[in-house]
Amino acid sequence: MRTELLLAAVAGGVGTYLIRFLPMLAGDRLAALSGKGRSRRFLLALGPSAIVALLVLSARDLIVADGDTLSLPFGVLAAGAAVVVLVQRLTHNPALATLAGALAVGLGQALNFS
Amino acid sequence: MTAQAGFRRGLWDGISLVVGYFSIALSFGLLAVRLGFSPLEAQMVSAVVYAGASQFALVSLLAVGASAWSVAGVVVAMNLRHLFYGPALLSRMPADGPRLPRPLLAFGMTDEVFALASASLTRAHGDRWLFGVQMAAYGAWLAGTAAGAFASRWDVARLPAVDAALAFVLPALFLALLLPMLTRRHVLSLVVAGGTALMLAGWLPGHVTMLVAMVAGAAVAALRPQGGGDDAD
Repeated sequence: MRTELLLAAVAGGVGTYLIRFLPMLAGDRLAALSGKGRSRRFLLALGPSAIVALLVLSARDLIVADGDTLSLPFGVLAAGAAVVVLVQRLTHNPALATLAGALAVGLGQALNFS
Repeated sequence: MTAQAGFRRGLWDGISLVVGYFSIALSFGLLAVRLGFSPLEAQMVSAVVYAGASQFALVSLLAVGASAWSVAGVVVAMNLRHLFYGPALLSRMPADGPRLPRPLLAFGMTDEVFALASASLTRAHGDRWLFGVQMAAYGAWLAGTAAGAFASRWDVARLPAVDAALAFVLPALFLALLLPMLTRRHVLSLVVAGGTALMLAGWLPGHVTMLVAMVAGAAVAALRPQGGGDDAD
């Protein structure tokens, strides 16, 4: 195994791990606070904000082709999104809605190419 | 929920991540081997770093001769957004009772695990559930990397329909997780986070856009006047 790769992976991995772990030490103390302060509201809102940001970035990657990134027809994407919304509303199961949406996009793309 | 049941439920709930992680890790395994790294080296990077986009950057930069320390710096900078994930999830867990060591939970705190846990985690789930989700995702990540490294031996013609379905898995997951959150209480912070991401995405790298959008949305939620039931999530 190459030394440069091992060094970069271990240093990058340890750095990433510390970024994930060290704030948890403060997080335990924050979690113990049952107050309704701004810091608590900030922490609770991080999840929904992260999800919407991830949705925007991942959907943008599918619409705007960049290098090796796959670009899909808007109609296929819209059909996939509609299936996700429908299945999530009916089942309240994100895993099922995800798989149904992916299958719909795959099917749409297959029909698009045939 | 018992500890064992919580872990099993977490593994089950992590299935939606498994499909997405496997396909992205497969791409990483393929890329790493095509850039001249061995399957074992690709697997080592996935096992040790375990952070999607920064792994792609790591092998790409090393392949063009960048130094190990500069590459490690890039990896760490790209993952700075993870700073907030631990505290945000811990605030939803029981403060007392038996619990898993925090160093163990920290390792698997990725974007998608955080997103799924933010949408699903309640005090009834507990940290065993979170650990189950993390193990499902990590297992898929390692398996996908191995499959990609293995598949790189053959010049397999790719199927557009399968590519399209796999590429849509993560956006579909985020959309499904977002739907239950579309309430009047969340709408302003969601609009700010989504709008910020949309505006910055064409100008800044994805990991920076993500961090700025996340903080902007959460800051709006923290600063708005406090009403009834603000903290119930």
